[in-house]
Amino acid sequence: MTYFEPSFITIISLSAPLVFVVIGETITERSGVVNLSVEGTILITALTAFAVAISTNNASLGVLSAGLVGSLIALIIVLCDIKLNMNQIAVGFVLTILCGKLSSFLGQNYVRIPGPSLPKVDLPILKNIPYIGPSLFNQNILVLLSVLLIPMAWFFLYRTQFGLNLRSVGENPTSSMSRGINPELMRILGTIIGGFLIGIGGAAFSLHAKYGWSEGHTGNYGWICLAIVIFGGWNPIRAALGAYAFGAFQLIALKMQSITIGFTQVLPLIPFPLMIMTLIFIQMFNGEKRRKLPVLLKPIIGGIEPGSLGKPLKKEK
Amino acid sequence: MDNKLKINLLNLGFITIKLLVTFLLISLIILLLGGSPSEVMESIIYGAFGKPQKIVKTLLIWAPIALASLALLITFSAGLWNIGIEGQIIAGSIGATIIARSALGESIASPYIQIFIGLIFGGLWGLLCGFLRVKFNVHEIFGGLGLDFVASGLIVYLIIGPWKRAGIASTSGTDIFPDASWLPTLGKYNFQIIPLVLVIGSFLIIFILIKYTNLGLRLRATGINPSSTSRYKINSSLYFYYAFAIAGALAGIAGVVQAAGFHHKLVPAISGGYGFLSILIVLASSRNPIITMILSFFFASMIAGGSQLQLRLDLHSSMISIILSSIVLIWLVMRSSYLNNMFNKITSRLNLEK
Amino acid sequence: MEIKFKNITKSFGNILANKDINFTISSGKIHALLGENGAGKSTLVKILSGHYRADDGEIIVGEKKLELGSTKDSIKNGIGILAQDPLDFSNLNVLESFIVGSKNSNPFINIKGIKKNILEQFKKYKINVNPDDQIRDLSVGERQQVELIRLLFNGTKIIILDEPTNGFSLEQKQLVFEVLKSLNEVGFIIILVSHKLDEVLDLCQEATILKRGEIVSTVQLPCPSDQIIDLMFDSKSSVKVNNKKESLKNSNLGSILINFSKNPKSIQYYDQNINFPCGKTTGVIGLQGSGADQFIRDCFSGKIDITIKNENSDNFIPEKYFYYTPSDRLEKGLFNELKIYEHVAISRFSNSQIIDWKKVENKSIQLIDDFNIKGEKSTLASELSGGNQQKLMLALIPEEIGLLLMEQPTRGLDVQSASFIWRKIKTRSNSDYGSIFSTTDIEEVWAYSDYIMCFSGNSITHFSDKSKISKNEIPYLISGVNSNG
Repeated sequence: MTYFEPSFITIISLSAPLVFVVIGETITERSGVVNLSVEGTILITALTAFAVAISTNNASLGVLSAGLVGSLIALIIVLCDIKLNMNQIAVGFVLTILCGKLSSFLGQNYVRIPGPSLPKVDLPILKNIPYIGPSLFNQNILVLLSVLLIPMAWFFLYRTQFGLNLRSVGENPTSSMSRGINPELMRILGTIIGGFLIGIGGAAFSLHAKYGWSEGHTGNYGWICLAIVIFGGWNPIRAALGAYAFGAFQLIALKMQSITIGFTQVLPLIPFPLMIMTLIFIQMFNGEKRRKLPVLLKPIIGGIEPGSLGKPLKKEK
Repeated sequence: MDNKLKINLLNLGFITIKLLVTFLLISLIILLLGGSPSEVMESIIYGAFGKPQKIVKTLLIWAPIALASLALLITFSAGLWNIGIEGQIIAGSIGATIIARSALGESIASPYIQIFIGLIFGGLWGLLCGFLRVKFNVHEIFGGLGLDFVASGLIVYLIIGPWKRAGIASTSGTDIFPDASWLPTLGKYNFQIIPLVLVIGSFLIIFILIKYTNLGLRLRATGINPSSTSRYKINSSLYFYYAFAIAGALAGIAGVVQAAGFHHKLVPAISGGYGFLSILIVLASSRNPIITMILSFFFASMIAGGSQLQLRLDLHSSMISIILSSIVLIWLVMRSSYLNNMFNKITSRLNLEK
Repeated sequence: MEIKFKNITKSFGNILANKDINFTISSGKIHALLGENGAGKSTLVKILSGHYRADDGEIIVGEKKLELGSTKDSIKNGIGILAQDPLDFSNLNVLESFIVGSKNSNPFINIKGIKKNILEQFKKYKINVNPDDQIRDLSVGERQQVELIRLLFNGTKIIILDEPTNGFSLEQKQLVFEVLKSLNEVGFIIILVSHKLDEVLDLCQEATILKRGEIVSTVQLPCPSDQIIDLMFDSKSSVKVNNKKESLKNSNLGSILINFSKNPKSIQYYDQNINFPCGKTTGVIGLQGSGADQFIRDCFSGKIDITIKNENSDNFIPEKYFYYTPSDRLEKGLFNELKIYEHVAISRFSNSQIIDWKKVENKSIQLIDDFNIKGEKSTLASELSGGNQQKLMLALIPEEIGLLLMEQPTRGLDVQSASFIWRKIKTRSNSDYGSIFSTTDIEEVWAYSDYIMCFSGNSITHFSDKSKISKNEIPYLISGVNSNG
């Protein structure tokens, strides 16, 4: 137990940025938009958070501004889709590169310098819960929020009218329209909300999980997050579990570093291909093939892509 | 005046406006990033073409970028997002390293064998992505990304594992290739002819393939509308495989140039990010082979010239990539249906005046 | 309550879909909108539901003027639509699909209550669906039933049924019709868009008939079906019938056998096998949405077992001789970003790897001339009009002997283009194995077929030589009513 307990908390803490990002992207894709720019967005928002935190000496302001930058990038993508009829993937890809390089450029003076840290939460009663209490409720606010976000996102998507309308647009905008919903507006809102969360995910890298700033700071995690969203079958809880599973892989790799000397550089890379290979396996059971799966496996494997994902809205005359 | 001429002139004017707008916006971006547009541009031009050895280096950088862009031309024609191109470049470079480290590495034929093996390795790596797409319906973006990560894991493993330098395992790369395995050079500026021959040869092949062959036409048809192919008795899966195999092979050659021509060893960052960069090039070039070549040369010159920015102007080298991706974004926006519609309206009004 | 349409006009591009529509629908009588394919019925109800914005005119619901082009306002005024394809969400469950866009601020607070309510409604209307089922697991008929209940649940008072009964089983249809009849009695306005006469006669008390975007007349039902058929279909032939003399039968080509008994269970059109000589044209007629088009597609994809039998070879499957033209010309037949000559290259010169563009261009110019295509060799397929796209598709069929499979070859074309296309088809059909085409136009099938196959819904109701059927029987055979009744 002594070995397990800190690891458990470490995984939750280490995966906090991923949780924000995968849930943000899940919400975005549920409205029918692919925000492919995740890799670039988290780089630039990680930098934004760190830079704002230093210049204002207030980490919370850093987090907030990172969220806003994330929303802004998302807004560019959705407007290019809706107003200019551009390919979501193409715009997302270009923004990935642009934002990533921009972060390298703008971040030159922030490389490996100290900055303010996030406030810790101190919840007097909860922290006395055995095992999880002291560690979970004695973390900084982003870790706590990342855990709380999971049920909140689920509640939002599956238990509010707004969330349901959002999902309906992702499935079939024409049907949504016949229920009096404005599909364009829903896509814009879904993408902005998702982008905000992705931005906070970026902040959680530079202000928490991998404190500070360096070039290419978030090291390809954005791409991984895109894969985790599919792994999660566009469900926020499963996506978060995917993020934790990925965090666990990482931790195992870290622990094994001490045992296998000489392979320190390869081990951290192992979870990446492993994750994608799992994804490929899971994709095999997506869609129609999912019906043939045993009932017990259904909730874990596969998922159905939102019907209008990546497709432009049809304009009714 | 003849209406056709009028429309052509209008076209030319439209392109000029596009270029002018791009130029102004880029200048603005450079200003915002704290540089002086004139200094930056002067520095880039000097860095790329200022001395004979600089031109030689620019051409050497151009070769893999041009090859990768040509590769992507094929996959984009078939409607595929070949994000797996980075992995295909790596696969080619691994193929080259196998030859360079074998007994064949000391042979004078080594560079040519490397090119052949790199072509095969890249092609197979590309086919793998096609296989995932056709058989398992894994979207090529995710299949490709997965294979990119696998390739970069593999290359690091090889460099610090089986191919580590005597005594030390370091990610700085393998041992330098034996001299015979370097791409041969000419003259005192070490000009390499083979990469250029490869680029021009590949360009001609791809150009002919796209413009004059049934294979190319069918690739394009599959890319435009796979659901129309059956009435022409075209098997769209087969054409997906063709596209990935051809693209992978070209990317593999780019990997060989990187390993045997540029680094002379295997390093983890062997692709230099040229795969993703080439995606930008092909996005901006509207899949036209000639524009792709021009644009890839422009991009390569920017990269070669940009290496001077840090030294001469104390500007971070990432400024070049910022400029390049901004150009692509600006072009994509300008080409978007909304603005093109405006342009089309003007031309159709002219047509009506007839 | 009443709905008044005043001077409603709507056009799409150059096509006038509704022209100065004036009429009134009132509660108490279930109202049918009847008309041929393309008569403008669907456009009219989509204006009422807010999906389309009319160019001109107004609609008055009760006392209030409807805000046109706003689904939101239409819903607010109690208007709901059951469309041909259910307007639901295949990836949501029944309960969720029920409450998408609901006016409650948050229905999830009382989700148990809503669920109980829905279950009660389902029970009341004898619908055997669980609110937790995924929509994608339901049949089309069940989905339409659920949609109908949803409309009622959300307080819809004006129900539009836009040909929703395609996926219905007989029992489902009866059930739904009973519901509609009882709703009519309590003051709902119900509008049924259909061209299935049997349905209309069964359900409606009043019918407005449209033709080419205009109202022909409004009749009280029941009335003799002949009268309605006369109003719906043009009595005078719009297409020139050129009854050429029967050319010499190309008997050595053999005969075509369609063997339905070999088909998988999912495809059940007919209980007998069909056999007819080669060199003949078979017209497959059915109303829009019937199985006629699917039949042509199944022939092409090899799902239906077609063999050709002749002296030289027994029973061979001529799949490589199948030449198919779909009705979705740009979606399934052509490549919108390819030019005409590139299409020609793809369809004619596939044997040689290197394309001889000179040859291709000459061939293209010849074909463009031959088929009277209004375009140049470098015109993109997407820039051609519908008629010219159809001509291009025909021009792309190789000259070699084959079996032509054509889905609605003249859909949406003007008379001249249509008769031109038929001349082209007819010139080759005698030397071909044959041609099979689907259509919704009785005149067309009568004018150009040697054999006639009728579809009602998804089953074949008739197949014979043209001489064994009279033209007047066809409307009954395709609309599912008995000609005696």
